[in-house]
Amino acid sequence: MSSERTLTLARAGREAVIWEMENNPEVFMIGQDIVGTGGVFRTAEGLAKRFGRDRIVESPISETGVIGLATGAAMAGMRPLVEMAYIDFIGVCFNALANFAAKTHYMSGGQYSVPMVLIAGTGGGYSNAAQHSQCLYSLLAHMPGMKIVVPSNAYDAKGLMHSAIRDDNPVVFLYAKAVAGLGFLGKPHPRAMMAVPEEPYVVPFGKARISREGSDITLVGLGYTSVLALDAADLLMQDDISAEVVDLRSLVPLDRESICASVAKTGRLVVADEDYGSYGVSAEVLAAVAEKIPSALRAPARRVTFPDISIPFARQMEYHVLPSAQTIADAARAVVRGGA
Amino acid sequence: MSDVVVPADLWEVDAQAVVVSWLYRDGAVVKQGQVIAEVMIEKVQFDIVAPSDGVLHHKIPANGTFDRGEAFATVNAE
Repeated sequence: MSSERTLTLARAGREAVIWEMENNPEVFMIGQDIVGTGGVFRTAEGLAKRFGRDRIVESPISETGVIGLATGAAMAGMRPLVEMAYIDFIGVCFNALANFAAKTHYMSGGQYSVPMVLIAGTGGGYSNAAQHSQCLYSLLAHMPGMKIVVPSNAYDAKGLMHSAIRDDNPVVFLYAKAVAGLGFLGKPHPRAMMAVPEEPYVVPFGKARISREGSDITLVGLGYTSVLALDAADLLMQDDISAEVVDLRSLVPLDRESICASVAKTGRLVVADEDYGSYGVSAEVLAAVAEKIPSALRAPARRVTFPDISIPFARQMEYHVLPSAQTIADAARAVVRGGA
Repeated sequence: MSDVVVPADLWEVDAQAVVVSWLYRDGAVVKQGQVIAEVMIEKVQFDIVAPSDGVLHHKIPANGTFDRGEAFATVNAE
């Protein structure tokens, strides 16, 4: 019987962090609650004991200070990992991240690199309410100078973490909480767990993955919605609709070629995004299609996103509007049947 | 045959545990000390290691619950 071990997304990412820290003395981690509790989302579990408090640094609640510290340390030759439990608080340090960390390489004429990784959790679905359940993908992706990755499964998480830590400029690595595999957030989604090689490997930036081949419609997802799209594809099979699922994996760089190749093949598109609907990832995907292959679409594309509202606390209210396999499949059926 | 239990010193409260995830499937060959399961008691998650080498047998599935002291898996020498 196989002895493959199955990892959760969170564990796989942490495994990459451990390997990089063991093999590169310049790598260190800084963040809130990472020593005592190992991080709210267990990113740093066991690491303080293993690497010591010089390399696993507990920070005060001072996001700007931490990004500033990381930027300076990176410019001086270190490779910091900033653990920011919830992406919701990026607003506190947005200037330091977008104007210092992300622009220093360019504004110094290439004289400085800033090899830092910002690790944060995104998304909701567990009643953590408006200020602790956001994705904010578009806010980050809009700014030049940073790569942004959102793995949807354990294999991609480990490979993208290795790529992120080895990259010589800022990378934002986002854990979609709903698929991270953390017990206190509910039962881990089985699609996000899988066998992961023990040795290190990289998953490249800027390459989407076709997680399911199909012919009738393209479903594009990211993080949690990538997994939901696979569930939706199963539902659609019952109606004899063959859905192709594109897992973006990488927001910046965005793999517009793979998106367009899939839509050119199927002629129909539904984009699913857990972030607020307007001015975001889903619009960028539609723009890529509209700019490059506008006549490929046989019917108007649809988006299944969180609405442009503050995220409710009450479970029934949150789940009423959170994208689901059901709502993605409903949108796909409407597109296939030609409904407006 | 060894029982796989949550170490007594970790289980302080009178509550059930839930198997969050199995890292090795039922029937897999495991080695002593490998992390084989993630278990949660009252929102606190623990890594559980194999007590010996051998073939793992799940007694409780993922998302299933069990009581304090109960063996939720066994590892049988091959």
